[in-house]
Amino acid sequence: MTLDSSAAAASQVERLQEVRLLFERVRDRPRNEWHAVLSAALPHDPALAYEVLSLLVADESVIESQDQS
Amino acid sequence: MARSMLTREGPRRPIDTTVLVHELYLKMGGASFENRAHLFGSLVRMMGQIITDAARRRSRTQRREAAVALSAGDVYVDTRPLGIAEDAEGRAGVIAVQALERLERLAPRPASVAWLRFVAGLSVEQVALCLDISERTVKSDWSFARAWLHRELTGEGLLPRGGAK
Repeated sequence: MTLDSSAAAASQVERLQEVRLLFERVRDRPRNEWHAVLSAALPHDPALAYEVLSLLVADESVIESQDQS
Repeated sequence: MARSMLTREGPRRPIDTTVLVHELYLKMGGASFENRAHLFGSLVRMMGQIITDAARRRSRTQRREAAVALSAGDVYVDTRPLGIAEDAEGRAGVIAVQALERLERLAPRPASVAWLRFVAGLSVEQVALCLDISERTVKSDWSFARAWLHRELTGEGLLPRGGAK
């Protein structure tokens, strides 16, 4: 692995760690608060906020599919 | 653990546990392990690879009459815990395992939890024991990994949603 690719990989790992921290912080809050909480936490990184939001939506979708069983 | 992976209900009959354990033994070779968590994480990943390879071989040999050791066994990986619908071809399981391998490079511990929960079918308590972590950590890692996998698989339209636990 080249220096650039290993740095990129490490960056991806760090970013996912950030995503995860926010996911856990927001997950138990009501759905209608997600956007506000993420916007406040990440005023200058809408891409990261979107990534967290997409995970929250996925999480909700999984839970709903299991509740229907 | 192998029996747990292979005896869950699904659209196909499970393969013989002995065959899976035999293949696992061959795959392990002279591997050494740092601790219990490393051992069990490695075992489940290897089993997942064996099952995935067998499923791929099955799809390639479907129209052939010659039997291949594992392909005749109708391997099955239940994707319903990820909120992903089953499919008769078993394609969903193979794609899900490939996504899990990507997660492993980004978040090793949640990926290990996901391997043990969704591929091996272990309970939260069993996973905690295998990886030597708390049950709370298992639940947290599993929620995250499950959401990530679901998004990876459905967000790009790879697989349809739906399924039950």
